[in-house]
Amino acid sequence: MTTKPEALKKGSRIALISPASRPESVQAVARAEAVVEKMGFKPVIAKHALTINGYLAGTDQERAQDIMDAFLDDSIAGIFCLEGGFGSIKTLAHLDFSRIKKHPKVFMGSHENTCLLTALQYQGGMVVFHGPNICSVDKVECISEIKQTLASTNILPSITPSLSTFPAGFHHTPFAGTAQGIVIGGNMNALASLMGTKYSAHFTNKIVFFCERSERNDIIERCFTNLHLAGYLKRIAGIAFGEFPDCGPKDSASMKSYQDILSERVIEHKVPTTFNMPIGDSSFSRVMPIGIKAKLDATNGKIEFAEPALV
Amino acid sequence: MNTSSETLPLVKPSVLKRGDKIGIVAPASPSFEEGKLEFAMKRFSELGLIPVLGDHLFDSLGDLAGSDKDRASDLNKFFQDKQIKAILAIRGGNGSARLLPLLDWDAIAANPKIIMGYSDITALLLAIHQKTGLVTFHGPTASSFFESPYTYEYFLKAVMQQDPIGEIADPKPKEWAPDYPPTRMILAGGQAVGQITGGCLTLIKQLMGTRYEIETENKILFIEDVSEEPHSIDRMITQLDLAGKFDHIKGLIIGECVGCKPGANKRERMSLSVSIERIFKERFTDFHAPVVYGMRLGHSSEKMTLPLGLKARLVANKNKQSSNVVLSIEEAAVSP
Repeated sequence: MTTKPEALKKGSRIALISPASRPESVQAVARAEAVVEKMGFKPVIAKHALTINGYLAGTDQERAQDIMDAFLDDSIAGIFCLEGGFGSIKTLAHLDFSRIKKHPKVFMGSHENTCLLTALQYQGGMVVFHGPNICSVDKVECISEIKQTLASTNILPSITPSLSTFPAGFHHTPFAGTAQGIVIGGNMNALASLMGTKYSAHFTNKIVFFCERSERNDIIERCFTNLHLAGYLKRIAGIAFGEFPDCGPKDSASMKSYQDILSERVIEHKVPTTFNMPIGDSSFSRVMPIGIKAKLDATNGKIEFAEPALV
Repeated sequence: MNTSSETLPLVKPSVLKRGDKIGIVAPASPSFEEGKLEFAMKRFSELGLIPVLGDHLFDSLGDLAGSDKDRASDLNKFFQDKQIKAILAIRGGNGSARLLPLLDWDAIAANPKIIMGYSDITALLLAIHQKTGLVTFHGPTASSFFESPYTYEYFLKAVMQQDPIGEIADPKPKEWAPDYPPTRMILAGGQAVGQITGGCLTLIKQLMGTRYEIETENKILFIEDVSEEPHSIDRMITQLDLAGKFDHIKGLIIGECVGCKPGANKRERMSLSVSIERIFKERFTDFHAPVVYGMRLGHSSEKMTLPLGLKARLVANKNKQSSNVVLSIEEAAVSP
């Protein structure tokens, strides 16, 4: 059973954590605070948000402690990740999900933090939110998108290609059709990094969204082949590919784009699939609830939610 | 979900002899230069081996050597053909894992023979070893077995003679500007005996959660990689750890990871401050079993050949005065 957390309200206290890499600077965190205040919430900077440990914001235990503290503090209504990068996966073994489970609250992040979203959804039993890490929010539209989504107890507006990223708002559908199921997803590398562990996402009968950033075609191919070999692609209900900024051949020899490679696979498995959905970790990204029922209309490039995400 | 190789009897392929035919395939990426094979052919003929080229050896489709169907077909044909005594991949790259559902598993089980390669070929080596019990060979490709005398020597020791490989020596050290890391850095001491298994970390990772997932219980595990960022290595190791893959291993050999430095992979950029050595030390100091880092078994031109499934011994003794590491393969890799 997936618990729906309480919607945020004006003045809600939001813990800002760095479960993966450290934000770029102390100023980046000050900017994130301003962003959260602009949403009408009260930011609370976690103890180790700016700690430096190589490319991580503190040791695994310190970053996990910040997550636990934020969940267990009942004055905190929501938790936002400040930065992606790498390292959320290393906190998992240090989290006490049985205690987290008793304190469901709004949790939002993306990129590497997909590891946390997935673990929180399954081990923590709560609806979570895939949305920009706060340090990368730099558009007023993004601020209102986050605020409106996380304060809403209604069924959220449907997801369709955005005119901001491409003026004609196109979608590409390699395999048409519709699908219904629970929505899950996130960063492709992070999802693949949980394969074979107890924290892994369950893809069967799900509507899955995938996004990625700064990745080579051949690595994206490896991740998707991993899902194929695990037998998930024949059991997945539908796929929405989101934003893939700075992804491409880079120095790999592949002349096939990741779009070609992914399309071939979904056609092989007859999975209703659409590309170019505004889902990712940028300021153009819509905030995606994970763990609620939805309908994917791949033919028309649209995701419609079937229930509210919050209470 | 996983087929356990422990329940399958170990199958040793026949020793490779003069006059034997060997199949050359490209299950992953194509050779950059067709001519590269010529030097290999000359070496093969010196050994009295007769190379037979796969139909699609020189196909090219993106970064793959032809379609999955065609690459799998070359491999299946060589397994079916009783005249072919060994199958050598010409190159790794990318694409072997894509072939696993397309392999003729009955033919492979019915016609055990030498199959060798490294890097991306790890997917084939692990899957075939675990699903059929066949001893597969983590060693050079057809275009690299002659790269150095060391590689050549261990190729011969592994497949062209019937004695156990025995204690594995290091390549001759350079007198000046030695390569880093040293070949036998002890991260945790101890002694271990167990079946050896492993390969390229990226491939071990790619098979996680699938029916081909690596089995590590009671094994001596070896891993290596090339041009991966330290944080990426860290993530793969974390994944294996979360999956319990290190919990019951008898020993761990981390091979030299060529070019695994920050900025190496043209992907994500991270702080320049963390080396893979630090990552390994943080995780494996005080490990329950011996852990050795630096052996030349992967992407360097000097590489040993390791037969998957064979009984191996790893000793890592360290005290203030000296340290001593022994890796030995205790039984013959091939049958008469």
